[in-house]
Amino acid sequence: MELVLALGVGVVAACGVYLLLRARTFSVVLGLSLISYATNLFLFGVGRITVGAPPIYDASAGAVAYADPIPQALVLTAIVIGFAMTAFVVVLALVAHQRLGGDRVDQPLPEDEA
Amino acid sequence: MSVSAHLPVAMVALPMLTAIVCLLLGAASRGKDEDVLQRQRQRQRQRWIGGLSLLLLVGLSAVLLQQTADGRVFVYRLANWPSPFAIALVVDRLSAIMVSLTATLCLFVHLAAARGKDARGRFFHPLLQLQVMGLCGAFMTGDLFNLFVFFEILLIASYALLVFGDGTHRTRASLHYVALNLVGSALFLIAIGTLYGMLGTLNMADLVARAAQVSPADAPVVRAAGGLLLVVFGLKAAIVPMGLWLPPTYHAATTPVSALFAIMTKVGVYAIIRIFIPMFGPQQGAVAGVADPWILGLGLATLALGTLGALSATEFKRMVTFLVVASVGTQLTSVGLFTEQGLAAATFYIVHSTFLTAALFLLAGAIIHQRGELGGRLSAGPVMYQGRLLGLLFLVAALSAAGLPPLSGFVSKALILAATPAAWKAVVWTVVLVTSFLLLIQLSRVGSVLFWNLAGDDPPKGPRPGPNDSLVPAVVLLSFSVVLAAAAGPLDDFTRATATQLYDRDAMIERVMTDAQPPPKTRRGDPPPTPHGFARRPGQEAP
Repeated sequence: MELVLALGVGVVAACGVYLLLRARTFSVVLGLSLISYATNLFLFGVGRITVGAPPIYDASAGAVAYADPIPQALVLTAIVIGFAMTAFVVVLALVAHQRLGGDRVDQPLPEDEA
Repeated sequence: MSVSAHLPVAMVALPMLTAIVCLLLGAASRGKDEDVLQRQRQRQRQRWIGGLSLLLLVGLSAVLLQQTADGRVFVYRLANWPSPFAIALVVDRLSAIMVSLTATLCLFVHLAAARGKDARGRFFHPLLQLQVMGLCGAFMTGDLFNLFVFFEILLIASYALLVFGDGTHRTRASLHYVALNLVGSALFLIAIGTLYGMLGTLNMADLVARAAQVSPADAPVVRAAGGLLLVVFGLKAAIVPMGLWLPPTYHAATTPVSALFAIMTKVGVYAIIRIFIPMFGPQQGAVAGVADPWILGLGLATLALGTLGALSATEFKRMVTFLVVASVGTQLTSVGLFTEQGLAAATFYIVHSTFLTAALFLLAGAIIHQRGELGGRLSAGPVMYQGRLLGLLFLVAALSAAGLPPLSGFVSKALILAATPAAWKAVVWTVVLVTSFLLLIQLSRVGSVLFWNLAGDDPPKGPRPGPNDSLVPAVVLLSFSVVLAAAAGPLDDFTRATATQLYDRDAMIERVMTDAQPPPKTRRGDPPPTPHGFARRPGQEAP
């Protein structure tokens, strides 16, 4: 299972980096989202993967398997922040498209062309 | 707990509450265009509330500074959980200095913006307060993930402030800035995740303690996480080779926002100091010295690049942005010496350059305003209304920026040179002195062009701008340059004590990890309060 997760994170991150390096803002936004998904999956994995274990450490039950709750909390925070940032960058890309008259990331300013 | 024990959290809560109030006021002023009077009234209220809150914040930070001066360290455990489970705010001397710096700078930025620049949108003041909240939090937190969260708060406020006031060029610069920082945030999260996975904690003091005991087999992964952190903080601090986003971004921002951003690069430098000196310092066994070979070299390269950029600039404000890059290089060079004296000098330089950079940006705004359509371009321009005053202010700023006596630029650079150990003297002295000389040449050139190369007595075409209605924030910020030089002795003592405290890793761990009062009784289901009983590879502990 570790291998599948690791490969998944790797593939998503690679796609994200590829898209990020493209010349149009739409691909860049998609790339940023994919990178943040890959990061979230990775964060989720750092607590070690457990199946069917509660996220509570019960000392009285002896050393039983439990799911580490901290990465879950971290991922939740990271997802919320990631959503806000994605929303912002989408709006920004739209505004840039309107104002600059094109969606290239290095779109020349209108006054430069004039 | 006495009242003063709650000071750290007040420094975060106060700007947050003010931001909410200002946000509501801004939202309430939404209305039809004819409601100009009402809108003005709401803006006036925002200004008063924001200004008073910042004034209070300056007062609180002064108390914090005074309380930490004798070596006391505030450890504020939220919800009073026992360490290391509590998400703590830790305020030592360095944090107190940075927080005071933030509060003071933001007060003057507020004053500068309240002269009319904030009227271009309804939400300048809430954004400024959020930025202050993020900065204060980032400078005080004792938890690595919380550092990430506060970084995001200050970043999203800075994204919005950057596009504040419209303008096409702002939108494009902002797009690049946002994309770069989002990638930086992803890398930061990966580094945090790796450290947590290897060490099982996020509390910085606990991380330091555990990193020292990491086994040689695990060390490469922890070192890799350290390298990632250096990349992330380097991106925020704008060091070579990740620093080229800074000049276009700061150039595009409106004047008070550029002045505010004077503190933004310091967040990166602060994080480098906070993480790399204790966690990857020489006493840290298998993970010692991850960044040692890099920081000094990158600092010198950044200093050289910033200077060359300033030399090649053909526009005044763009030159100032390159001065920011050069100052980051100087700070990092001093930190990269990895000695107590070097760190003390870096702290002194951070204080000096924050005020000076902000003053330079405000001054650039005033001068560009005077030159009408010509803007900041370095060519013969019209006679300015307040030519003498502006020229005098520029002279003071330039002297301080180039590092000539008797101002604080000279004192701080002299401290850095004095702190350089013999092995590095040849390289560091050469780079610092040559770059200072080149900056002096460029600043003289800029000053001559702006103030003496006048295009005849004919008034320039187009509408003539009126005099700047307030230069007070710029003047006060510049006067700090004189004050810092005059008070160099006591300040130097303070920064030396700061450096000693930062290098005393064991004392720091003990202060943060031992509870000031006995922890509350363990409730059912609580994790056992042993440092290693929790979050330690659950899969391996299973029978």
